[in-house]
Amino acid sequence: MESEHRRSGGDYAMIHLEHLYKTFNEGSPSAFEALADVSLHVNKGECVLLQGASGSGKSTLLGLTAGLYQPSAGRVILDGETFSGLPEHFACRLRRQKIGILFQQFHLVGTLSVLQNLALPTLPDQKEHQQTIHALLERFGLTAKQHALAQTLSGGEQQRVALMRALVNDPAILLADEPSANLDEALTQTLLDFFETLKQEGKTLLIATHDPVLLAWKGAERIVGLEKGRVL
Amino acid sequence: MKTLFDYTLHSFNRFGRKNMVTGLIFTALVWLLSSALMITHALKQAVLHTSASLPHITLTQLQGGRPGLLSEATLEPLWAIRGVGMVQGRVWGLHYFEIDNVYASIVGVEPYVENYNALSSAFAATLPQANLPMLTSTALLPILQPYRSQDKISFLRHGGGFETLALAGTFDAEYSLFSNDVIVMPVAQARAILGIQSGFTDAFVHVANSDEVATIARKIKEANPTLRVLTKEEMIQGYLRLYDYKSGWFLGLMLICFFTFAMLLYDKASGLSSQERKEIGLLKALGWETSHILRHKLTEAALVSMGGFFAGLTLAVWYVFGLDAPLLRHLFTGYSALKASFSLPFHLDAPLLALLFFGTVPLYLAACIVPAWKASIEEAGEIMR
Repeated sequence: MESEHRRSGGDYAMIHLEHLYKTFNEGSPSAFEALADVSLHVNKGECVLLQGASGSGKSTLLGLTAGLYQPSAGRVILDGETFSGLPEHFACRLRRQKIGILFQQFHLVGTLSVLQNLALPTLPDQKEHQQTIHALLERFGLTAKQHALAQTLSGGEQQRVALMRALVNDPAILLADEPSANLDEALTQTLLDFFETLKQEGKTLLIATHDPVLLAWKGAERIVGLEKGRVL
Repeated sequence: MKTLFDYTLHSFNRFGRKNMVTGLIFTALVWLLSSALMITHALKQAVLHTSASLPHITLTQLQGGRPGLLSEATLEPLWAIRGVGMVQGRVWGLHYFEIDNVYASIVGVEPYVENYNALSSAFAATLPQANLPMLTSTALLPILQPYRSQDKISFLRHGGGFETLALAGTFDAEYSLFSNDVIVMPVAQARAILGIQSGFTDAFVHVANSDEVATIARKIKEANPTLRVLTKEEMIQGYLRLYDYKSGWFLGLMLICFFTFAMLLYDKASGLSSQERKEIGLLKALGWETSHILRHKLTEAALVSMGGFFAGLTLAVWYVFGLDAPLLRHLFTGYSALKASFSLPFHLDAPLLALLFFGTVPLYLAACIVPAWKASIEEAGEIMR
């Protein structure tokens, strides 16, 4: 396993996490520390895998990077902009423009069609995204299912829709939480091929996983281990 | 789907059944509330409109607590009270039309009297007595039809035989609330039909200076303790109180509807369903701002509440002024099986609409927005966990 200390220096940092702490239910008896003093530096176009057992803090780290949580302490800097502590309006806009998130549970709106799910991230800006959406549908082989309700799709199809939705705003950063958890070996390979393509397009990838297939993937520059909320 | 509004419309359809039930409850509530207020309002307006024709003071004789006949001897001294412009006795009573099982009010007036009732004065003053004219409402015309021969209508006299009068015209529709069951005719014929040989059923007093009405009413009461003395103002207030009381009673019945509405509001205000919460969390995770989510939720709630409001209001206008409020109207105007029907005068004003609107729509919007706002200011990750 490579560690954070073996990162290549001198490159432009797309993701820069500085001494991040996250404690849930702070101030209550049920408070627990999910992350403690985590620092991470991911260069532009780099792919970093976060490895760790369940409860190690991988999802929390992705959530903090995406701004879904505010850190208890520390800073998140994305593409040179300090993300944590930004007013909501700016933080949401930054998230829309720079980050695509692939959730472990997909989080599709089951009662909306594939097309409508893909449109969700584009609605606040009211920009024309039809061409992008149709290109993605074609690329992922789901053109025929564009009008199907998300809840009628298979697990693999839902995962592809979730991935397309993460990419619809053409973000510079893709955060993926256990992306292969619901896929068979063949689909996992397809996913890895796609990650490879994204890398070639210059996107920065931060992927949380404990899937051996993903961990063995040669496309990742580094693997960062997490245990009990701390970087190994 | 290209805009937030498109998403709201889709969302509206996705929760179609829930929104439809909410919309229907909203419509029913607004319809009931609007109908009650519109009926009360229309009746009050009719009272106020008709009040122009009411005499300043109305006198009735009480005898053992029951209405009796006023004699000329009682009325004559009233002329001597300073400020009294005119004292006029009137003869009226109910006449039964057997075929339709309907009672009508026969009112006998002197042809030269032109100031105690605008309904009859113009007509009575212009027609020659020899024609024995009568005036009635359009609603009574079909009931009089069996007793009609060309323009002559025959009434059964109290002592036997018939009294025949010529139909001279009908009352103005704006006075229908009070004139709907009335037949005005010369006093001699009214006496013959009603069997009142002498005396008057009531009397009207006109006062030269309307500011002195209360003083003159007090003087009449002091001089004649057995008279019931009602001023114009008291009569109007009496009618208005009656309608207020009846609308209050009706509103009481509607408490059930209010409870339903309150439960609806409570359900909305007490929180979102887990599906709605998760969706808000997801939208935030996808980069939606609180303002986007609130705009979406506000539009959704506005579609339900405004749709329900306008549907309820339209139904109420059609029900009250188009159909004359079957069932509900009788609650306000009293038992009417023995009376001919009448139309509610159309009246709808801005304060009434504002009362209806602000009593329903903003409450619903607030009840929908508050929990959505609470959820949308939480951390997206926290909502989605």
